Amino acid sequence: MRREPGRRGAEPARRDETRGRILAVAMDAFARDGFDRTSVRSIARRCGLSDAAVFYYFPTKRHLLEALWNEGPSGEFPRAEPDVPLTPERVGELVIATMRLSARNFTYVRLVAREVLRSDMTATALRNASRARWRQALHEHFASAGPRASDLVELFMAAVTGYLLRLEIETGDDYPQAVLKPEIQARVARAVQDLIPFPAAASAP
Amino acid sequence: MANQLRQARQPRTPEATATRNRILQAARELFAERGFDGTSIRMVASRAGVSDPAVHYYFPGKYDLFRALMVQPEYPLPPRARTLDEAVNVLTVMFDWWADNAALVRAMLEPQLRGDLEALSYLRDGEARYRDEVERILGPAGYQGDLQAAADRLFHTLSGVLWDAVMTYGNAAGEVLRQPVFRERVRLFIRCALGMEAASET
Repeated sequence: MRREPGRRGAEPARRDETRGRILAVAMDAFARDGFDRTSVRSIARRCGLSDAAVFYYFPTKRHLLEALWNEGPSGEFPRAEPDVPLTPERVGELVIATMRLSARNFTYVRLVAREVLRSDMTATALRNASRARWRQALHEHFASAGPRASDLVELFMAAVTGYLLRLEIETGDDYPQAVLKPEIQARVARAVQDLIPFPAAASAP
Repeated sequence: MANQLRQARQPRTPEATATRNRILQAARELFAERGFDGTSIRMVASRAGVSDPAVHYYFPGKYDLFRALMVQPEYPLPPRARTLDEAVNVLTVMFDWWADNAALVRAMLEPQLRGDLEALSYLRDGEARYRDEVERILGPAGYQGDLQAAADRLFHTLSGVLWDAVMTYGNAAGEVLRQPVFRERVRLFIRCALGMEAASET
């Protein structure tokens, strides 16, 4: 016999609070251990709820995963000011801005990556959309590089992806702290600055 | 003797070589289809048409199988490059090999992101080998910059290309990376990592 949500005594605010708590715990568990390796029971236990209480909000584990896709990434990538040339300093700032966003959205990005590797179509589409936004924002900053801008944006994205994924594999759960360490930020920024060929005028002091 | 039993063995007869190759081929297919985590030794044995102990005989664990698949063959180009342009060619061919194995790179990313210790040590070994190789190539080719810094840039940038490709294109990543437009881009990235593009821009 199914309970009817509308007839229940709990007031809406508390229902929202419980629902939010389940989502936060599920996000963490799916991102860390993967969808297949996480049971609804373990999520319920960590929320201090019964299995039935979780199923009241989300009929299946799949519903829970799909609700998580609405908890999108937060924070904006810096916008370019018109006619500002691309300098090593600017590239360094863009690397660090990316690192800050990746710390802030770590759990979400990790969840998306794990689901992409399981060939989940929604996760793949969300990842592609998020990279397209990043690429678009970078294009504005790299516009002054002329016909090469596209290639340099791809170079920037490949290098930052490589450094950050490598760091994530190395640090695991500690990634959000590691990626905010000034020495690590300086190392990645320096490496990307050394990769990008700057026009002679821009690299002059 | 007990110690010997735990080690991966080499086949001694042509039939044994064929069996070992069949096991490797089955593992390659399964890793691509089901991922590293989703593949078991039993599945490999069943697809190869051999018994579980036969797989264990050559490959004591799943990582031994994976490592055997990722052994680099001889490069078609001479690994000794006399100029930086030749070094770029050698590095591009090295990348082609990784691109051909993109499905395996994708399979390994799952345990790596899960924080599996053996997957991490596999990555560390691979990185160390790649860096050594790059330094051995760049030194005789007359690279004037900091060898370690160049190897660091190459490793991370090309890993980024590969990881992004497998996340975007799945198991088709190898095919995509073989397209001339991507191959030219990889070549450009290698040149940038070696500082060969800096002076050419106005």
